[in-house]
Amino acid sequence: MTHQPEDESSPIQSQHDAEAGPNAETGHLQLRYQPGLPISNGKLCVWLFLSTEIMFFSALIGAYIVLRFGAPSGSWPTPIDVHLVEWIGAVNTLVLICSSFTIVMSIEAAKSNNGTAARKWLFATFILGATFLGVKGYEYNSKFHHGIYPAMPRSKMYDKPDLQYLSALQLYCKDELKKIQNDSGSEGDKVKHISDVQQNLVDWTSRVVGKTNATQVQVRALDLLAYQINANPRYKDSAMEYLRIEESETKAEAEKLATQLTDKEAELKTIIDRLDVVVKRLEELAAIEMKDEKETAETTKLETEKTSLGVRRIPIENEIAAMKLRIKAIDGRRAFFENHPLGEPLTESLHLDLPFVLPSGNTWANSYFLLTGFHALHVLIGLIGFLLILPMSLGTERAGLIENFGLYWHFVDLVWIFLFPLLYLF
Amino acid sequence: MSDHTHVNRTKLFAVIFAILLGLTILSFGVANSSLMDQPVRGWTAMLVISVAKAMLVIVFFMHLKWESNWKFVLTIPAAVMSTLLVLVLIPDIGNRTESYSNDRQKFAAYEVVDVASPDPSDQSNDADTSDESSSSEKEASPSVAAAQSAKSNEKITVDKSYDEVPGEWGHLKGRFIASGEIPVRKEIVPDKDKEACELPMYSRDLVVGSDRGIKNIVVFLTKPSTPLAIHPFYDSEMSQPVLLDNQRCRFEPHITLMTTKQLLRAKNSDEVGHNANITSFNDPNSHNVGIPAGAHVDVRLPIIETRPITVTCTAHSWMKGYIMVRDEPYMAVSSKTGEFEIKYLPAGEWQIQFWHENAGYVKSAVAAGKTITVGRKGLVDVKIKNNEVFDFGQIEIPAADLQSK
Repeated sequence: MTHQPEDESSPIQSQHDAEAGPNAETGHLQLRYQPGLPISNGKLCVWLFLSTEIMFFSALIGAYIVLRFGAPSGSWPTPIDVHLVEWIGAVNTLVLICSSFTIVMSIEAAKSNNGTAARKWLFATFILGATFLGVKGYEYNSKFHHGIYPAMPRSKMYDKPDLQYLSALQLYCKDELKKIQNDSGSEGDKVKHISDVQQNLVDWTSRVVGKTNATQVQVRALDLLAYQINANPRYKDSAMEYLRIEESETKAEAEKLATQLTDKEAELKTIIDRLDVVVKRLEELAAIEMKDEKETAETTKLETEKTSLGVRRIPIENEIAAMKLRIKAIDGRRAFFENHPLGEPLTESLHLDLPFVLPSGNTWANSYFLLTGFHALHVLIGLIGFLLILPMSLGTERAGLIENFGLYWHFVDLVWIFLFPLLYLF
Repeated sequence: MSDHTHVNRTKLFAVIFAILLGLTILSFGVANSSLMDQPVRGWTAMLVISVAKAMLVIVFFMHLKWESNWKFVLTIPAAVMSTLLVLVLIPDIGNRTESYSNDRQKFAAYEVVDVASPDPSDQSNDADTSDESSSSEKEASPSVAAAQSAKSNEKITVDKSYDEVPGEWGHLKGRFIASGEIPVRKEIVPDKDKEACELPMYSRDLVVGSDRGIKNIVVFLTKPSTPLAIHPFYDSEMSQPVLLDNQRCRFEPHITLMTTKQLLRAKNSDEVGHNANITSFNDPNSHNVGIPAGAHVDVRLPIIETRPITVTCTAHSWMKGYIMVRDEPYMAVSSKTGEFEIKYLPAGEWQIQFWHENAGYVKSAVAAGKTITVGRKGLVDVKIKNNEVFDFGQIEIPAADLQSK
């Protein structure tokens, strides 16, 4: 496959001869074989291909670096945020390094004309490559399970807790409740849990955000919502601060409402009592068959009073109902935070898979899937190559072929050597 | 390398393999060590380890150590080019975070909102008196806010930096007040999405303040035969999009002024979806855009209009606003006190028009001090002199003329 070391000087020699003009003895042009590079055509092609592949992955990695380090400071997701398990990545690195070693051993065996050993080593490489893909598949699956997809429409991730995030949560709760209701064997706990989240977390926040024009309040209320759902430490301070303010405000409001409610109920009671008296008297008057003038006048007067009392009664009753609703909402909100203290992510609670907020999350997902996806594609192509050469007899004559596949395989390993720290450890 | 000179390098490869394993564990260790307290150090260490591993693989596993000189021809250019490819992208990182332009801020993945700063909104309870600048408070986009507040009514203040601008420029101001009995504004009861709406809600077609000032009368320059020069005062404003917000099921501002060169940014701060259906007189293209909750859509209105056009929301029948599109920015809307001003008009004799949504062109008006004659199309002649303010004083309009029919 390769040339003898002494051949390397010959091209220059032959060129020199050709330039020297016609051979003095025969008068013919002396042309000698020009071997070009002292390697086989196949190996040359693999090397040329690899040098373009270097460009391909450099561009991808460069783009990733710009996105990663160009993201506003502190906003890039940490591995925990996106459910990346570092040791799984490390295991995959080990797997690929082992496979690099086994393919080298396979070439060595082939060169020693030990076909059986070469096949064994090659098969080991194939198994290791397949393991890598399997682990990758497992990782992808866990990403999908958490709602992390490379494209926006399917992704359950939001870059920040904003109104769009809030609408997504509202829709989610609505859909989820509808789904459960359609299920015949519905679970009471699940319904209670989701409607609890809907009323006391999502709808509450949407009311707060809708009521105020103050950006600061809106941002904090949404931060609290996001923190309650996925406990991302990024929102912790803002959420804690806001909850503290909200609790003292709602406490004061509840106390005020309670006194107002007593007043209103007393007012309503006087109205109802008076109404009872009026109605009773009217019934008495109605019972009299022959009314004199005084009694008719009294009836008219009482009828007017009855109407006016009725008119006064309705708004007070409405107000009382509204106050009771508000008190119930405040109590519900308070109870919710007692049952689900801050810092315990709701996403992990049973049945609940709410969209979560991750600054730069979608950018992360796009670059992660793009980089690892292209790499996995290369691994897959390598595996197909190994499958093709496994049935051949792997003696000395095939050593060059195995080496060519080996070169490609090492390159795939090289890319992962850079991808692993960049994606998992940075 | 050739068959008969083959040397068994198994031992060497095993050593390299062991080193690679060691380096991988080292890299993993660095990530969890105190080096990462200063991330740059940790990252550098990890990259150095990665390069070392890569070199080991290339030199030994890929047999480059035993190849002849051809290896340099292929590998060195490829290495140089790929390193350059990554390095030339690095300045972009610095530019991105060091100076965040306003445009970029809008499209940034995450806006850093300064929660410590005091809340700028003045929480006015009278929903209808909110002026144009309040509409941009929800957006953490200072540029739009600045462009809008440039229109806020104050006494005419002349910026000294414009003294050097060539040409003759003057100003125009006045105040509309209503005479006669002022009609009561009707209450609007929303038939849907009540939670998202401001309540109680009142009609905005005729808003007269307690000092009888008439809000929302549009004052604009009749289209001159030749395009007018535009004063640099308007440069920054005209380079920004004009914000039309949907807030609490109302268009904010009620009347939007824009030039044909500007973008209209239709925004939705509500929790419910809205749409902006713009009915143009002159533009053959229809503009009806849906705006999901929290989103915004940019609309271009490139054709000049002779009077304000309507913008409505199909889903919420009471939502109606107006947009005035002109080539030049010489126009104004009267504020809640009835005041208006147009700064830096080119000096000369111009015709201006008064327009109100109920009355159309205002046909009769009495100006204190000067009698003004209003023509058929609300035309009023004004003469703008250099560095002078043409002041109408108070312009009295009978409230009866402005009532809805």
